[in-house]
Amino acid sequence: MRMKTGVIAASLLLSAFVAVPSAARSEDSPDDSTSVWDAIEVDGDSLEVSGDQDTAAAGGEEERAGPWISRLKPDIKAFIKTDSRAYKMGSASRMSWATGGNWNFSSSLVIEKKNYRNQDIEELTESFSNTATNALPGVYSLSINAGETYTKKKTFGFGRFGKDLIFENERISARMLVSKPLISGAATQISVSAGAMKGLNDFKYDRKASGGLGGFVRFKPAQKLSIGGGVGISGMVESSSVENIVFGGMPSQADTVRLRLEYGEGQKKPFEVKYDKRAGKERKVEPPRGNSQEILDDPEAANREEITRLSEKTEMRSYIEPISDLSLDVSFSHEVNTDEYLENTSLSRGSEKTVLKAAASYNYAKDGNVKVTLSKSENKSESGANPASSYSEGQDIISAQMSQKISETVMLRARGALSLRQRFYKYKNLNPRDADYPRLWGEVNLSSKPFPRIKADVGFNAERYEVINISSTVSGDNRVDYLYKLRPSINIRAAHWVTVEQNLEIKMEYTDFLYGEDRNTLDRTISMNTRGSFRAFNTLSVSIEHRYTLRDNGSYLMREGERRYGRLGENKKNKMYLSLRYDPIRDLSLGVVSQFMFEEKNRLSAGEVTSSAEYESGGIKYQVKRKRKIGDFGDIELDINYVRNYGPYVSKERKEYWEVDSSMNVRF
Amino acid sequence: MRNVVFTGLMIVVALCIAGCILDPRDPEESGGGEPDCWVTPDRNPKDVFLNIQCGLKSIGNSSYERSLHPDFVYIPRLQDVALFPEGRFDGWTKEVEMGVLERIKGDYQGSRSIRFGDENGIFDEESWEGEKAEYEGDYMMVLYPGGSAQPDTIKGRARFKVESHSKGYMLKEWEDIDISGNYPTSGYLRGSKRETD
Repeated sequence: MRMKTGVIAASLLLSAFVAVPSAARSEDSPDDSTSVWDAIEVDGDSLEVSGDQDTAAAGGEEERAGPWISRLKPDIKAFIKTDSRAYKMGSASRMSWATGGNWNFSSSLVIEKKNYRNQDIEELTESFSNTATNALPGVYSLSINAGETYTKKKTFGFGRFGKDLIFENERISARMLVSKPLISGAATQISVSAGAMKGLNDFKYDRKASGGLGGFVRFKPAQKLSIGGGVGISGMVESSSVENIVFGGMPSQADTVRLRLEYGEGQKKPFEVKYDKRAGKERKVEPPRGNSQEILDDPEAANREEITRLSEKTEMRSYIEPISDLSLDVSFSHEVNTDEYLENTSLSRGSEKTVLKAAASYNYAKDGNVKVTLSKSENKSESGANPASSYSEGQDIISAQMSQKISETVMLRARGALSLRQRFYKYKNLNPRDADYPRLWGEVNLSSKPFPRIKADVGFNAERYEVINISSTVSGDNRVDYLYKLRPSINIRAAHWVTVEQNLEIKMEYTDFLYGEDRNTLDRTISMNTRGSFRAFNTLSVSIEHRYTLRDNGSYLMREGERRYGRLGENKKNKMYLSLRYDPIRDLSLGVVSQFMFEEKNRLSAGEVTSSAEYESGGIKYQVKRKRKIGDFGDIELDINYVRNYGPYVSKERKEYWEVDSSMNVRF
Repeated sequence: MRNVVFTGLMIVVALCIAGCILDPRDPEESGGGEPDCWVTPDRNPKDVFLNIQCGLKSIGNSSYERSLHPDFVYIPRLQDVALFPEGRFDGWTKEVEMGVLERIKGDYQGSRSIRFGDENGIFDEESWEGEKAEYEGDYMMVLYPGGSAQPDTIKGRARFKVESHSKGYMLKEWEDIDISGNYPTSGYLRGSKRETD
């Protein structure tokens, strides 16, 4: 770790009595290596032909008025977070400076350390970044960035056997985007970028240099007609060292083409066509089968991989309103994607997808609308590893939705769909085999407010999903899943200080096997939640909730010519929640949340209980929340919770622990 | 009146099209098939792992599918994410997982097995609080392509979250957290088998 020691020391010193927030850089991105696929992409879709661009001067000059010191904005944050699994602490210091002349400088240093409670793992993440930007809106923007990131994960007793997992990279990049119209009557964007980076990425040390050039032009030959097109090219040269083995001169390149044709105005146009193509070759060093441990043991196992990629997409869309209250929306898309790996051919793949969709929406009344959508798609998938799993799949969907306002206080919404997905495998005599998946579902919701303080809703869902394996070798698994759900609920706000609500849900699910009916199952669930919220004083609120669930399951077999349900098990749960919150002063909150659950599980045979088990579990959480401002300079936030849980299978770590989420933010 | 005609027309057209194009194929009569290895997971969350083992081994997918929670997600290791094109692990739903399972079964026509925890099915960390349970430990898959080809072994360490649902306990989250020896993880297997749009 070779980051500037003084800066780190200063930051650590600040974080020592600070506490606080979020990292500028995600902890989840140890490898910030660039890919040639991050190629030049000029945002042609948002490019508008307008005469205002020449005069679109920077609007931030007023903000830059005043002495230089007032334009220097340091911001220091630190945080501590703990829960039952891990504890984290860290700091982030940022500084931004608008120097005038359209220049902005910013610098950030983020440090975060994470330790796990029940494992001997330590993660340390640091990032140091400096950015300079100069932008004149509508004319140009220049961005220069230099920085360093460092991530170390130290593990003991896991797969790496105590070896550190380190990612450490230094990078510098610059990008210039020119939006000033270069041709009369057209809007243009030209982008030039260049960058370099080097660093350790787990098992290898990489050096990369990259660059790109792209442009987009949009014309408006007629009032409603717009034509645009753009191209981009990017390249990268990379060399990697694995121990003493050097993989040098690995060039990668990618090209992009974008075309646009639009007729009409607004978001939904009578006609628009888009075409995007990206093609290129990527070369890099990869661990065999994704496990770098193997390379650390044997550096010669590293693969020099070459991947040829192609991605092509065509989209067409038409939106028209032939008569008032009726709109038609038709779209078509065709997409091709292929990845070909030279070494690890098992990763090679290809797919081709075509989708045709048509929707009609009609306002049949002032407060009523119906929409019908038809969709047809075909997807071909090729697997480079084994052609046995290559297939084509067709899917047809018909869906409809409707909404109707019955009165000022009653609203009805309904929607549903019918679909069929059919899969055709290339080789019919191998598994997996051809299959069809028909699905039908519907949902109706009625919401009402019969009295000013009472809301009453009811919802109903029904679904039928079938799996039809065509071959006799697997058709024994053919089945139909049914689901029915009824959901009435009521909410009463009796007074400004009391609210009572109750939700009931009755759900029935059953699975019907076509050829193996002895496997048929039926599951029923009834749950009822009742909740009351009371605000005794301005500072004290209480909430009580009870949840009851009864679930039983069993067989659903054909006996003597009719379906009969045989209960095999039942599960009853009662859960109680009590929440108390007291706010004695502004920005201070004290709270207690407790929960208790009693569960009974029974095995049944011929309606009789053959075995029974009972469980009790619960917990309590004490909360203190405090937020305090430090003048105009910042604030301190504390959220401290003490948690105790009990139950027969609660792990040691979760029986008793502290949850802390506190932060301090100082601005100058 | 015109409104009623239009609305009715739209519904009639939709229904006609439904009848015309949504015509599933007839299956062949079942040749017998495999014995059922489904355990109703209503008492012990760890029964989910028995059903997943059964679902991977079986040529049918019902046991595996019924073991996954409707909101199932898979979370890969960052190192596995870095190996594949951007977005390969995005939106990993139950549907995506079932697609990957189908592809695994296509590519490995021989026997398929998976072990969770140690040889006795015991995880290093186990916690069960009412409707939710969490397990952390090793897993190992052995997949035979068929014929005389050598099997592929997939190993790793993962955190599993199991949650009670209307059909009993179901696997809600599989998070790979580390490798285990010189073997690819399930993230590598899943990433290489997922369909791309």
